[in-house]
Amino acid sequence: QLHIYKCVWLCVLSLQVFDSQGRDVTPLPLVAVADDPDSKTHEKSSLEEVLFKKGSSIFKSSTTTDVVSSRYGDIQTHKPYVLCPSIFLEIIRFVLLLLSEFPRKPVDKGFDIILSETDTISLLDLPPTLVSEDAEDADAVKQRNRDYTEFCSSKMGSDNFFERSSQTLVGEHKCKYTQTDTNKSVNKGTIATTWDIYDSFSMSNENRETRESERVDYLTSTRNKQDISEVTMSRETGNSFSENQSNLEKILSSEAFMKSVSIMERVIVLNIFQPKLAAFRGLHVLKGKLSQPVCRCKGHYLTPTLEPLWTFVSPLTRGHNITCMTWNKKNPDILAVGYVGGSSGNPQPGLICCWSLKNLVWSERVFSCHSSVTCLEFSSSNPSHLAIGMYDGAVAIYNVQQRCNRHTQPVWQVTWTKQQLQLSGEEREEVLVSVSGDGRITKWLILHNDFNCVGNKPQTDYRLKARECNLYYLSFVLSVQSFCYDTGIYVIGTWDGSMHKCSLSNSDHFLDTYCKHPSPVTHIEWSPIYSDVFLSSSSDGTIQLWKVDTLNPKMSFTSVQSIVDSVKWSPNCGTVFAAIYRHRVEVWDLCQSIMRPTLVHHAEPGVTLSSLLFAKGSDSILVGDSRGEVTVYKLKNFRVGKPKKVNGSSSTFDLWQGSTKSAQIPCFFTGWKRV
Amino acid sequence: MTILYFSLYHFIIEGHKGVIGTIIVNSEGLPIRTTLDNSTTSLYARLLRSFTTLARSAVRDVDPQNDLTFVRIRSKKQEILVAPENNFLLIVIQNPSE
Repeated sequence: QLHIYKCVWLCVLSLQVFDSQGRDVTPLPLVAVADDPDSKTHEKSSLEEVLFKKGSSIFKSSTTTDVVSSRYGDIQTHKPYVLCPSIFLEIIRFVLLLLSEFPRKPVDKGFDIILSETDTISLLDLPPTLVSEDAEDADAVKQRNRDYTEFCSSKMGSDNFFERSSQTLVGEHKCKYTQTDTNKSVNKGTIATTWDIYDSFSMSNENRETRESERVDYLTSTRNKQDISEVTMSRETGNSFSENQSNLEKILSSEAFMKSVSIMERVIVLNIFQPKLAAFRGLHVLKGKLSQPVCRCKGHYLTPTLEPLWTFVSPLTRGHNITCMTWNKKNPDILAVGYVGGSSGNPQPGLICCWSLKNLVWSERVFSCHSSVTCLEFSSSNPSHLAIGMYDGAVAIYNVQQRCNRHTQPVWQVTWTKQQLQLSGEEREEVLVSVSGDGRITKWLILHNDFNCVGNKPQTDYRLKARECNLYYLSFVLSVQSFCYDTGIYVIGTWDGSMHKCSLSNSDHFLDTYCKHPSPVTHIEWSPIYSDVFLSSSSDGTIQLWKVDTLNPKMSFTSVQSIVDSVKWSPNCGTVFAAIYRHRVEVWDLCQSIMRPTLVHHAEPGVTLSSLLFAKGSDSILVGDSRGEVTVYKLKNFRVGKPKKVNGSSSTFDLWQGSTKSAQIPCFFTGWKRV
Repeated sequence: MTILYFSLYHFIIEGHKGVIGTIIVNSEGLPIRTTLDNSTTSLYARLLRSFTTLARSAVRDVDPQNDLTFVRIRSKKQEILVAPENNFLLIVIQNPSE
């Protein structure tokens, strides 16, 4: 039997193997081989020579028990090795010797290892010898076979052959222990999250044309983003101080930072003011350390009070008198406040601030205009447009979406040389109507452009017949509610105390005149719930309640002899209204009493209260004063709707006594119809 | 310029009542500005960074077009507010009931 040994060929261009970091990872031989005395010269020898020269010695050594022989080359490894059984060990030894024999070439750059398949190596090939019956030498083969069997059988008992047993020496097995370093394994995992897939996909979509070659970079960069979480604080902080500083500056000045800071400020402020805001909204207040104990006295009528919640004030607005406030139509959390610049009577640049409930300490927008602001109103069809009227007669529309902290040009401006202005926007056709002190009522049609330039042209100019009254000081309110048959009705008040009912369609003369006040009418307010009822306030200290078609006031309310600056209905309840005097605020609830205000709140000494606003959906009122502060008060203990029997003898009561039932809201006004 | 930004930042954030401390962390996780002591700062920065990454991953997993804008952790004693951005992290610790 022949054992055919061939060696496995490895075409190796270089015997050194480096990994991606340049470390030498050439496989070291398993066998600790010592110098072979036959190959001390370390010459390049042909492969055959090496093979077969060594082969014989290997065979020799395999029969001995001493595996660790010093016959091999002086490749010193301090690593012990493991014995593998017989033949495979021989082959491995061949390979290792090969590797050691070839001189090592220095490798700087990467190399290619080409593995190619050798021909099939037959280690043992015993082909069957089969001869066909029909072959030529079949007979010879048969004869040979027969001879052989005869020969085998004749072996027994013949003198040529004798049996003898022999013993092969089986070498003692020696256990040789080796030890290798454990293979270090590193677990590396990644999670293919939905967003990661989406990111890489969208990024590769974007950059497909231009950055084809750098796609690998992107993938690695997305991988790096995941690995950010693996980076721990234990990394060496090699940043120098200056690098840190510039880093900080860059971050602080970036826009994203400012945005984050503004969001953060809102959150902080909301946290600080959370109890107040909860009270504003009518929610249950979270119990904090300093929450006030709620006294639950059921069945007691606690005195209604105004509980101050917070104040809208900022250093910009301090000292400016507030003239007007209005809520945004679309987002009821945005408040626009108009300020007078400087002292009143002295036209100076005015100020408009837009406050949001999200940030109670700083206004979201600040606009300055060239003159004091007298009135303002948000548009309902275009909720970001704010129309303002100024003291010098100009009307302007601002777009509050522009985040411009400096002086911003109004969207549109027109100027006459007139005195005072008040305006409000009508809902239906988005008409702007302005009334000026010279007696002109102008209706403006707003033409929309896409951008901020809004053209405006006066549509109709209502020349009021200047009667004997001097239309010097006007205040008016436009009827905006559902008057089903007549929507263009508005009422204006005049300096001499009479009020005129006019119609938008009729520009020549008044429809009606209501005379009651002896002194200038300061404010007229339509009821938001009852469309034919309005209140008027004047400087004689009285408030009159009117119905549109009767020329005499239905009711009259007096409390102090002081100029009533403004009167406003509550949007939540149909019988509540508030009036602002110079130094006090009064809230009247007509269900409880029509003789006395239900609630009186005095201003601080030295402060004049100048404007008033109700908050829709929340029982709070906003009061603006001469210090430039808007204080938000909550109507506490304000019980609305509890009727009381009123016994009075004034003529106005006769109306009420018609309905002997409780003065509930529906019956409240049916009493009038009877009259 | 830096002074302006610093003062603005201080006024807007640090001046509010109840704010215990603020930390700005850059993209590598190193706090670059802080009003607390070093050990607390590094603790907060390290923990909150991994937390916001986790939160962002959760938000974006549900809808990859969404993104995290703000994280608030309210605990018994205080509230931790984190505004995450691409290259920095703004952390504010506030005691809201003060």
